[in-house]
Amino acid sequence: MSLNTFKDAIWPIRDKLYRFALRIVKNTTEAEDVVQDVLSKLWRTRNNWDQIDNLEAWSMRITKNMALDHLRSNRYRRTEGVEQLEQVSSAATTPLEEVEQLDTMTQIQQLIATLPENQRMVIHLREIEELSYQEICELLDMPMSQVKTNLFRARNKLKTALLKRDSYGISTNQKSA
Amino acid sequence: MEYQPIKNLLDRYFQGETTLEEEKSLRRYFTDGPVDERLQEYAPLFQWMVQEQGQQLADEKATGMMEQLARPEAKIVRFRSASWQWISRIAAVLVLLVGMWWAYQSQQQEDQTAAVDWSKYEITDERQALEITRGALLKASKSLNEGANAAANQMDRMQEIGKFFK
Repeated sequence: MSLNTFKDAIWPIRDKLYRFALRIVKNTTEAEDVVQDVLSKLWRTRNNWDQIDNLEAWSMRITKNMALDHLRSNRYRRTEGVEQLEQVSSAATTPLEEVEQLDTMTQIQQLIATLPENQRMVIHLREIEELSYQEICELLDMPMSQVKTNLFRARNKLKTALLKRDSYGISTNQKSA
Repeated sequence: MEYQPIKNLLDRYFQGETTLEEEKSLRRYFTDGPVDERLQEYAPLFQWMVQEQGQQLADEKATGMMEQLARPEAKIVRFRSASWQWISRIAAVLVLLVGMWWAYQSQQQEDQTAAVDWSKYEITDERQALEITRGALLKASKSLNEGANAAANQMDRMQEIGKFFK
Protein backbone atom coordinates (compact mmCIF):
# COMPACT_ATOMS: atom_id res chain seq x y z
CA MET A 1 0.00 0.00 0.00
CA SER A 2 1.55 3.28 -1.10
CA LEU A 3 1.81 6.59 0.67
CA ASN A 4 -0.57 8.04 -1.89
CA THR A 5 -3.26 5.60 -0.84
CA PHE A 6 -2.69 6.64 2.75
CA LYS A 7 -3.05 10.28 1.76
CA ASP A 8 -6.30 9.56 -0.02
CA ALA A 9 -7.90 7.20 2.48
CA ILE A 10 -6.77 8.28 5.93
CA TRP A 11 -5.17 11.70 5.79
CA PRO A 12 -8.50 13.51 5.10
CA ILE A 13 -9.97 12.26 8.40
CA ARG A 14 -7.03 13.42 10.56
CA ASP A 15 -9.06 16.35 12.01
CA LYS A 16 -11.90 13.99 12.90
CA LEU A 17 -9.44 11.71 14.69
CA TYR A 18 -7.91 14.71 16.45
CA ARG A 19 -11.28 16.03 17.65
CA PHE A 20 -12.29 12.63 18.98
CA ALA A 21 -8.96 12.16 20.73
CA LEU A 22 -9.23 15.67 22.19
CA ARG A 23 -12.73 14.94 23.50
CA ILE A 24 -11.36 11.95 25.39
CA VAL A 25 -7.97 13.15 26.66
CA LYS A 26 -9.03 16.81 27.07
CA ASN A 27 -5.56 18.10 26.25
CA THR A 28 -4.39 19.38 22.86
CA THR A 29 -0.80 18.14 23.17
CA GLU A 30 -1.89 14.68 24.24
CA ALA A 31 -4.53 14.60 21.51
CA GLU A 32 -1.82 15.38 18.94
CA ASP A 33 0.32 12.57 20.36
CA VAL A 34 -2.62 10.19 20.11
CA VAL A 35 -3.22 11.12 16.47
CA GLN A 36 0.49 10.67 15.74
CA ASP A 37 0.40 7.20 17.30
CA VAL A 38 -2.81 6.30 15.47
CA LEU A 39 -1.45 7.40 12.08
CA SER A 40 1.81 5.51 12.70
CA LYS A 41 -0.12 2.38 13.62
CA LEU A 42 -2.35 2.68 10.56
CA TRP A 43 0.70 3.13 8.35
CA ARG A 44 2.46 0.10 9.83
CA THR A 45 -0.61 -2.06 9.19
CA ARG A 46 -1.14 -0.80 5.63
CA ASN A 47 -0.75 -4.28 4.19
CA ASN A 48 -3.95 -5.37 5.97
CA TRP A 49 -6.14 -2.48 4.85
CA ASP A 50 -7.78 -4.52 2.11
CA GLN A 51 -9.21 -6.80 4.81
CA ILE A 52 -10.97 -3.90 6.56
CA ASP A 53 -14.50 -3.02 5.52
CA ASN A 54 -14.65 0.53 6.84
CA LEU A 55 -11.25 2.13 7.20
CA GLU A 56 -12.62 5.32 8.72
CA ALA A 57 -14.58 3.50 11.42
CA TRP A 58 -11.55 1.35 12.14
CA SER A 59 -9.35 4.46 12.45
CA MET A 60 -11.85 6.00 14.86
CA ARG A 61 -11.88 2.83 16.93
CA ILE A 62 -8.08 2.80 17.16
CA THR A 63 -8.22 6.46 18.15
CA LYS A 64 -10.71 5.70 20.92
CA ASN A 65 -8.59 2.85 22.29
CA MET A 66 -5.33 4.79 22.15
CA ALA A 67 -6.89 7.91 23.66
CA LEU A 68 -8.37 5.88 26.52
CA ASP A 69 -4.96 4.27 27.07
CA HIS A 70 -3.40 7.73 27.27
CA LEU A 71 -6.12 8.93 29.58
CA ARG A 72 -5.75 5.99 31.95
CA SER A 73 -2.01 6.29 32.09
CA ASN A 74 -1.00 8.55 34.98
CA ARG A 75 1.74 10.10 32.92
CA TYR A 76 -0.75 11.55 30.51
CA ARG A 77 -3.35 12.63 33.02
CA ARG A 78 -3.19 16.34 32.35
CA THR A 79 -6.47 18.13 31.81
CA GLU A 80 -6.34 21.38 30.00
CA GLY A 81 -8.29 24.50 30.81
CA VAL A 82 -10.72 26.05 28.45
CA GLU A 83 -8.57 29.07 27.76
CA GLN A 84 -7.94 27.72 24.29
CA LEU A 85 -11.54 28.15 23.38
CA GLU A 86 -11.59 30.19 20.24
CA GLN A 87 -13.64 33.25 19.62
CA VAL A 88 -16.84 32.21 17.92
CA SER A 89 -18.97 33.81 15.32
CA SER A 90 -22.48 34.12 16.66
CA ALA A 91 -25.64 36.10 16.58
CA ALA A 92 -24.29 38.36 19.36
CA THR A 93 -23.94 41.92 18.19
CA THR A 94 -22.32 43.95 20.99
CA PRO A 95 -18.99 43.33 22.79
CA LEU A 96 -20.93 42.67 26.01
CA GLU A 97 -23.04 40.05 24.28
CA GLU A 98 -19.96 38.45 22.78
CA VAL A 99 -18.28 38.22 26.17
CA GLU A 100 -21.39 36.77 27.78
CA GLN A 101 -21.83 34.29 24.97
CA LEU A 102 -18.18 33.26 25.15
CA ASP A 103 -18.68 32.76 28.87
CA THR A 104 -21.65 30.49 28.16
CA MET A 105 -19.60 28.54 25.61
CA THR A 106 -16.85 28.18 28.19
CA GLN A 107 -19.38 26.75 30.61
CA ILE A 108 -20.62 24.31 27.98
CA GLN A 109 -17.05 23.26 27.30
CA GLN A 110 -16.44 22.75 31.01
CA LEU A 111 -19.67 20.83 31.45
CA ILE A 112 -18.88 18.53 28.52
CA ALA A 113 -15.46 17.89 30.04
CA THR A 114 -17.03 16.81 33.32
CA LEU A 115 -19.49 14.38 31.71
CA PRO A 116 -18.86 10.66 32.27
CA GLU A 117 -16.60 9.15 29.62
CA ASN A 118 -19.36 7.31 27.72
CA GLN A 119 -21.68 10.33 27.65
CA ARG A 120 -18.81 12.50 26.48
CA MET A 121 -17.91 10.14 23.64
CA VAL A 122 -21.51 9.59 22.54
CA ILE A 123 -22.46 13.27 22.48
CA HIS A 124 -19.28 14.08 20.58
CA LEU A 125 -19.85 11.44 17.93
CA ARG A 126 -23.49 12.47 17.47
CA GLU A 127 -23.30 16.28 17.70
CA ILE A 128 -19.85 17.01 16.32
CA GLU A 129 -19.15 14.13 13.94
CA GLU A 130 -22.82 13.58 13.06
CA LEU A 131 -22.71 9.79 13.18
CA SER A 132 -25.84 7.65 13.15
CA TYR A 133 -26.84 5.68 16.24
CA GLN A 134 -25.78 2.48 14.51
CA GLU A 135 -22.33 3.87 13.69
CA ILE A 136 -21.87 4.98 17.30
CA CYS A 137 -22.93 1.53 18.55
CA GLU A 138 -20.34 -0.17 16.36
CA LEU A 139 -17.57 2.29 17.13
CA LEU A 140 -18.02 2.17 20.88
CA ASP A 141 -19.10 -1.48 21.12
CA MET A 142 -22.19 -0.30 22.95
CA PRO A 143 -25.81 -1.48 22.72
CA MET A 144 -28.23 0.91 21.01
CA SER A 145 -30.22 1.44 24.22
CA GLN A 146 -27.06 2.48 26.05
CA VAL A 147 -26.07 4.89 23.29
CA LYS A 148 -29.48 6.56 23.41
CA THR A 149 -29.49 6.70 27.19
CA ASN A 150 -26.05 8.29 27.28
CA LEU A 151 -27.04 10.84 24.67
CA PHE A 152 -30.32 11.65 26.43
CA ARG A 153 -28.57 12.19 29.75
CA ALA A 154 -25.78 14.31 28.27
CA ARG A 155 -28.19 16.56 26.35
CA ASN A 156 -30.42 17.07 29.35
CA LYS A 157 -27.50 17.94 31.60
CA LEU A 158 -26.56 20.62 29.10
CA LYS A 159 -30.12 21.83 28.90
CA THR A 160 -30.41 22.03 32.69
CA ALA A 161 -27.14 23.97 32.88
CA LEU A 162 -28.30 26.43 30.20
CA LEU A 163 -31.68 27.02 31.87
CA LYS A 164 -30.08 27.32 35.30
CA ARG A 165 -27.71 29.90 33.93
CA ASP A 166 -30.66 31.72 32.40
CA SER A 167 -32.56 31.74 35.72
CA TYR A 168 -29.67 33.67 37.36
CA GLY A 169 -30.60 36.66 35.20
CA ILE A 170 -27.73 36.79 32.76
CA SER A 171 -29.51 35.28 29.84
CA THR A 172 -29.43 36.42 26.27
CA ASN A 173 -33.17 37.07 26.60
CA GLN A 174 -32.48 40.12 28.72
CA LYS A 175 -29.86 41.32 26.31
CA SER A 176 -32.19 41.01 23.38
CA ALA A 177 -35.04 42.73 25.12
CA MET B 1 -38.68 30.05 11.03
CA GLU B 2 -41.65 30.25 13.37
CA TYR B 3 -41.27 29.68 17.07
CA GLN B 4 -43.55 26.66 17.57
CA PRO B 5 -42.07 24.27 14.98
CA ILE B 6 -38.59 24.98 16.29
CA LYS B 7 -39.74 24.56 19.89
CA ASN B 8 -41.30 21.22 19.01
CA LEU B 9 -38.15 20.13 17.26
CA LEU B 10 -36.08 21.24 20.24
CA ASP B 11 -38.27 19.25 22.62
CA ARG B 12 -37.87 16.17 20.45
CA TYR B 13 -34.13 16.81 20.32
CA PHE B 14 -33.86 16.73 24.11
CA GLN B 15 -35.98 13.57 24.16
CA GLY B 16 -33.50 11.96 21.75
CA GLU B 17 -36.11 11.57 19.01
CA THR B 18 -34.64 13.70 16.24
CA THR B 19 -32.90 12.50 13.10
CA LEU B 20 -29.47 13.67 11.96
CA GLU B 21 -31.12 15.94 9.38
CA GLU B 22 -33.38 17.54 11.99
CA GLU B 23 -30.39 18.12 14.25
CA LYS B 24 -28.58 19.79 11.36
CA SER B 25 -31.53 22.10 10.82
CA LEU B 26 -31.48 23.03 14.52
CA ARG B 27 -27.80 23.91 14.27
CA ARG B 28 -28.47 26.00 11.17
CA TYR B 29 -31.34 27.83 12.89
CA PHE B 30 -29.31 28.73 15.98
CA THR B 31 -26.14 29.73 14.13
CA ASP B 32 -27.54 31.52 11.10
CA GLY B 33 -30.17 33.48 13.04
CA PRO B 34 -32.33 35.35 13.70
CA VAL B 35 -33.21 33.37 16.82
CA ASP B 36 -36.52 33.84 18.60
CA GLU B 37 -36.03 35.55 21.95
CA ARG B 38 -37.78 32.70 23.78
CA LEU B 39 -35.18 30.24 22.46
CA GLN B 40 -32.09 32.36 22.92
CA GLU B 41 -30.81 30.36 25.91
CA TYR B 42 -30.28 27.32 23.68
CA ALA B 43 -28.28 29.17 21.04
CA PRO B 44 -24.82 28.81 22.69
CA LEU B 45 -25.20 25.01 22.76
CA PHE B 46 -25.66 24.71 19.00
CA GLN B 47 -23.09 27.40 18.31
CA TRP B 48 -20.63 25.45 20.43
CA MET B 49 -21.27 22.35 18.29
CA VAL B 50 -20.56 24.25 15.06
CA GLN B 51 -17.42 25.69 16.55
CA GLU B 52 -16.21 22.24 17.61
CA GLN B 53 -16.90 20.85 14.14
CA GLY B 54 -14.42 23.36 12.78
CA GLN B 55 -11.63 22.37 15.15
CA GLN B 56 -8.58 21.13 13.26
CA LEU B 57 -5.19 19.66 13.89
CA ALA B 58 -2.61 22.47 13.69
CA ASP B 59 -1.05 22.68 10.21
CA GLU B 60 2.54 22.43 11.41
CA LYS B 61 1.69 19.36 13.49
CA ALA B 62 -0.08 17.72 10.57
CA THR B 63 2.83 18.45 8.26
CA GLY B 64 5.30 17.03 10.78
CA MET B 65 3.25 13.86 11.11
CA MET B 66 3.10 13.32 7.38
CA GLU B 67 6.85 13.93 7.01
CA GLN B 68 7.55 11.36 9.69
CA LEU B 69 5.35 8.80 7.97
CA ALA B 70 6.95 9.51 4.61
CA ARG B 71 10.41 8.66 5.94
CA PRO B 72 11.53 5.27 4.66
CA GLU B 73 10.42 2.85 7.34
CA ALA B 74 11.70 4.93 10.22
CA LYS B 75 11.18 2.75 13.24
CA ILE B 76 10.66 4.29 16.64
CA VAL B 77 11.62 1.92 19.42
CA ARG B 78 10.22 2.79 22.79
CA PHE B 79 11.58 0.95 25.76
CA ARG B 80 9.18 0.37 28.57
CA SER B 81 10.05 -0.76 32.06
CA ALA B 82 9.22 -4.38 31.19
CA SER B 83 11.55 -4.17 28.20
CA TRP B 84 14.37 -2.89 30.39
CA GLN B 85 13.91 -5.83 32.74
CA TRP B 86 14.30 -8.25 29.86
CA ILE B 87 17.28 -6.35 28.48
CA SER B 88 18.93 -6.54 31.94
CA ARG B 89 18.34 -10.28 32.10
CA ILE B 90 19.74 -10.87 28.63
CA ALA B 91 22.76 -8.68 29.41
CA ALA B 92 23.42 -10.66 32.61
CA VAL B 93 23.31 -13.94 30.70
CA LEU B 94 25.64 -12.55 28.04
CA VAL B 95 28.14 -11.37 30.67
CA LEU B 96 28.04 -14.82 32.25
CA LEU B 97 28.61 -16.54 28.91
CA VAL B 98 31.51 -14.23 28.03
CA GLY B 99 33.05 -14.90 31.46
CA MET B 100 32.74 -18.64 31.00
CA TRP B 101 34.29 -18.44 27.54
CA TRP B 102 37.19 -16.37 28.86
CA ALA B 103 37.81 -18.84 31.70
CA TYR B 104 37.75 -21.74 29.24
CA GLN B 105 40.23 -20.00 26.94
CA SER B 106 42.60 -19.28 29.86
CA GLN B 107 42.47 -22.95 30.91
CA GLN B 108 43.32 -24.03 27.38
CA GLN B 109 46.42 -21.79 27.38
CA GLU B 110 47.62 -23.24 30.71
CA ASP B 111 47.24 -26.77 29.37
CA GLN B 112 49.31 -25.84 26.34
CA THR B 113 52.09 -24.45 28.62
CA ALA B 114 52.19 -27.67 30.66
CA ALA B 115 52.56 -29.89 27.61
CA VAL B 116 56.38 -29.58 27.10
CA ASP B 117 58.04 -31.72 24.49
CA TRP B 118 60.80 -33.34 26.53
CA SER B 119 62.01 -35.47 23.64
CA LYS B 120 64.17 -32.62 22.33
CA TYR B 121 66.09 -32.57 25.63
CA GLU B 122 66.75 -36.34 25.53
CA ILE B 123 70.50 -37.24 25.47
CA THR B 124 71.51 -39.50 22.64
CA ASP B 125 75.33 -39.19 22.83
CA GLU B 126 76.87 -41.98 25.02
CA ARG B 127 79.90 -39.87 26.11
CA GLN B 128 77.71 -37.01 27.18
CA ALA B 129 75.43 -39.41 29.02
CA LEU B 130 78.44 -40.94 30.80
CA GLU B 131 79.75 -37.51 31.87
CA ILE B 132 76.37 -36.44 33.13
CA THR B 133 75.95 -39.71 35.04
CA ARG B 134 79.46 -39.45 36.46
CA GLY B 135 78.83 -35.90 37.56
CA ALA B 136 75.60 -36.95 39.21
CA LEU B 137 77.31 -39.84 41.03
CA LEU B 138 80.15 -37.58 42.18
CA LYS B 139 77.62 -35.14 43.53
CA ALA B 140 75.82 -37.95 45.34
CA SER B 141 79.14 -39.36 46.67
CA LYS B 142 80.19 -35.94 47.89
CA SER B 143 76.91 -35.57 49.71
CA LEU B 144 77.28 -39.01 51.25
CA ASN B 145 80.85 -38.25 52.37
CA GLU B 146 79.68 -35.06 53.95
CA GLY B 147 77.03 -37.03 55.72
CA ALA B 148 79.53 -39.64 56.94
CA ASN B 149 81.89 -36.98 58.25
CA ALA B 150 79.06 -35.26 60.06
CA ALA B 151 78.02 -38.58 61.62
CA ALA B 152 81.64 -39.31 62.70
CA ASN B 153 81.86 -35.91 64.32
CA GLN B 154 78.64 -36.53 66.18
CA MET B 155 79.94 -39.92 67.36
CA ASP B 156 83.16 -38.30 68.68
CA ARG B 157 81.06 -35.79 70.61
CA MET B 158 78.88 -38.49 72.07
CA GLN B 159 81.96 -40.34 73.24
CA GLU B 160 83.32 -37.16 74.89
CA ILE B 161 79.99 -36.67 76.65
CA GLY B 162 79.98 -40.34 77.71
CA LYS B 163 83.39 -39.95 79.34
CA PHE B 164 82.09 -36.96 81.28
CA PHE B 165 79.25 -38.97 82.89
CA LYS B 166 81.44 -41.95 83.82
